[in-house]
Amino acid sequence: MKWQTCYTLDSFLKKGEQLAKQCEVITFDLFDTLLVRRIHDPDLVKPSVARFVANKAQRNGLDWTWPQVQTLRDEIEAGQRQETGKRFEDHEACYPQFMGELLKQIFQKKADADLLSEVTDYELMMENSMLVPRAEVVEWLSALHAQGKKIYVLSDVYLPASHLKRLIEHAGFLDSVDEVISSADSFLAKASGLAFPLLKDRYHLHYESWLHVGDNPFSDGLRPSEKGIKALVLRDSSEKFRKAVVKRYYNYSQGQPFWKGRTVQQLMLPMEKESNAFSPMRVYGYNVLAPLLAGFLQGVAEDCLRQGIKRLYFFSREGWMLKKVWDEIVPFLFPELPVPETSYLYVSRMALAGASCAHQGLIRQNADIVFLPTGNRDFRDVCRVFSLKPEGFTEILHRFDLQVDTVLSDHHEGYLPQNIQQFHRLLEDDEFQVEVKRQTTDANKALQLYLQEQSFFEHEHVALVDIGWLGTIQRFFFEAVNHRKETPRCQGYLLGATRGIEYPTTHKNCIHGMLYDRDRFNLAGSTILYAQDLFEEACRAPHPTLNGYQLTPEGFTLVFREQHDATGKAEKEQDEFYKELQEGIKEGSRQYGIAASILGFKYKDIQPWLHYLLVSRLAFPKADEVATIRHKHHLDDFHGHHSPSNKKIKGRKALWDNSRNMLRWNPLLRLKFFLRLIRDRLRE
Amino acid sequence: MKQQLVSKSFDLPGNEIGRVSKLYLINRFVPLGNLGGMTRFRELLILTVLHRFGALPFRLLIRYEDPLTRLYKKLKG
Repeated sequence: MKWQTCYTLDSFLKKGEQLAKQCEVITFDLFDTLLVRRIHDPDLVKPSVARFVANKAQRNGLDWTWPQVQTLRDEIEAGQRQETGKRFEDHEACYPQFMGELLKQIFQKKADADLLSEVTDYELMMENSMLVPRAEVVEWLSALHAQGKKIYVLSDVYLPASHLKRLIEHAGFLDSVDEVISSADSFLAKASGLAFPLLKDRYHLHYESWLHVGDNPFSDGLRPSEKGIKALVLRDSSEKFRKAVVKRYYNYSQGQPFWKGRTVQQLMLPMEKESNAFSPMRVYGYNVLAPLLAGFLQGVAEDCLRQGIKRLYFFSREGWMLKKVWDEIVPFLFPELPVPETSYLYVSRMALAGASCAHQGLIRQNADIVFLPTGNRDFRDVCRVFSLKPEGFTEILHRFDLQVDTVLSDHHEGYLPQNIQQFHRLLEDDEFQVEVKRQTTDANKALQLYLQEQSFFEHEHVALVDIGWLGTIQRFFFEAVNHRKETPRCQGYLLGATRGIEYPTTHKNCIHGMLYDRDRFNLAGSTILYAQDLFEEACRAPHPTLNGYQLTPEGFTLVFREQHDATGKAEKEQDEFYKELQEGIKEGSRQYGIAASILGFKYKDIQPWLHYLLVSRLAFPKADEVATIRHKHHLDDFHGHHSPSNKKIKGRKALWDNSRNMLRWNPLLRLKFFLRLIRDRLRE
Repeated sequence: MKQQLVSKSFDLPGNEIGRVSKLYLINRFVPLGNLGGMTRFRELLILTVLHRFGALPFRLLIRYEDPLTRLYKKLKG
């Protein structure tokens, strides 16, 4: 009997329906028939398991690298196949046997059943992450099962049936399968044709009412046909095309660093039923922001491991999304490695600015930060930022010929140079500083209680993660607790560090921009400056900002901003607007973690592609992209509400501020802004 | 309007390979920064052809996959 071959899924299903009508038993091949792999080569899952085993060995004080583990696995597996070949026609291997042997050779006496089970769980988790059920074939299988046909899954693979059942269960169709048979259990495979008589005898089947379905012309076509079983082979050109694309990217990534990140993105792409139509917002989150944020956090985690940092705090509110991304990628990227424990810390510039003055007073560098945003103008803004009550300073200000509304910012009309000089003299005044400290002491005490609750002072070295840009949150944060001798060394990680004002770097307190840092020349990375607000809004938590820390009789309480005013409503509207974007980021991050783990790429490997994403999406975006993604509201309590004089703000329009028509029809617009960016960077 | 997360030619949506080509061209005249050497022209060309026109040859030649593979191996030595 000649088997039948179909070259498209539609014709395969049609033919399958016809043949199944005459049969009571249908056996399905598993891999590439019911389950398809994201990666072109199934062996690429193995190195990630080797890394897992090597990490575990290193934690146990054993000096093993992952290539050594992989080589040993290959040797043991090959040895087992040779041994099996002496007794059986098929040269099969059985995973629990060769993996057990591998672990025994590496871990010696420490290799037990629990260890094997742990490694197996990890291998199956990685397999599951790479396998996707072929939707239409699985639907057909379920329909056949519902018609009362006997359904068996038959596979030539080193995983025993018990493991295959876990893969099928994860794919969601174990209920529709009567039994799973693997060549790893019997060493009788489809390749030799011996698996079919085994099944016939074990389940009392008849060849004439039996249909076998698979993808291999030899094992799934010729062999069952020889026995008189009807056989149907699917050779799906679309699937071959998909795998050819993956293979091409993978091969190029081995020689050209640029393609590494693109290969990760290729493996991130959804398949089969995962591939639904989504809003452009979600697509942007999945394909653009997820790799950028996940790459950033991969870099942070790698640096923490290098420095031996055991605790990491995500600063609110952008840290909310960053923590979610971290939680998605870390289980895949850093199994068995001592990555830091994480917490989400409620902080804000406004809440910390006041608390930072309790011990050191209001220092000049901090006071000058107030006047960086053009919306701040006078001493009232200083008081608003540092949570001070202006009434307490009326007499002191009078001594320095200042008033609460004297213009102190050169962005505003009415500014006189002597005003700021007087203001700087005011900062030297003891009486002024005493009043500042008096007003901010309670907030500082409450902050310390909060940090104690968060175990902050129990570590020697902590990582602080935020989106960017000046590092003012960490600056105020560190200054608020620096007086305590148990304050840990604070290593700050920012998505981008613009350093608009010099950061007071010391051994105990420093920041590091991952994608962009003004201290290191990085032209591509600096394109992040095109749309800083996009990253802030995309990562922002859907809860109000923190206004301050307050002492209470029971200890302390966190005071959040009310959301009933226009600003609060605008913030809620923005949250709703970016909800889909955030969903896309979360989904994409998980896939990023899986893909980067399978490929074994580090942050440095993926960095060129991340730079490309920044340049292509921020500096050379499509007009529709900007119009769709551009945030509706960006709110910052740090900024005051004063309008600067037009002369001062003239010429600051950014590319992303241009209209859709301007972006669409002006061919040189992007280039003009990019040349301006180059000029600015060179001037720095 | 709804969008797919992946294009029909298994590229990122929005003609990613076209975007890479565009920046590759710009990068020849204006430095775009550290892109890890970006790509070689040959790689870019092959990927562009694969994404744009790959589906049809795969559909037509899948029937002759085995003899073509044998021929390819023979030619490759």
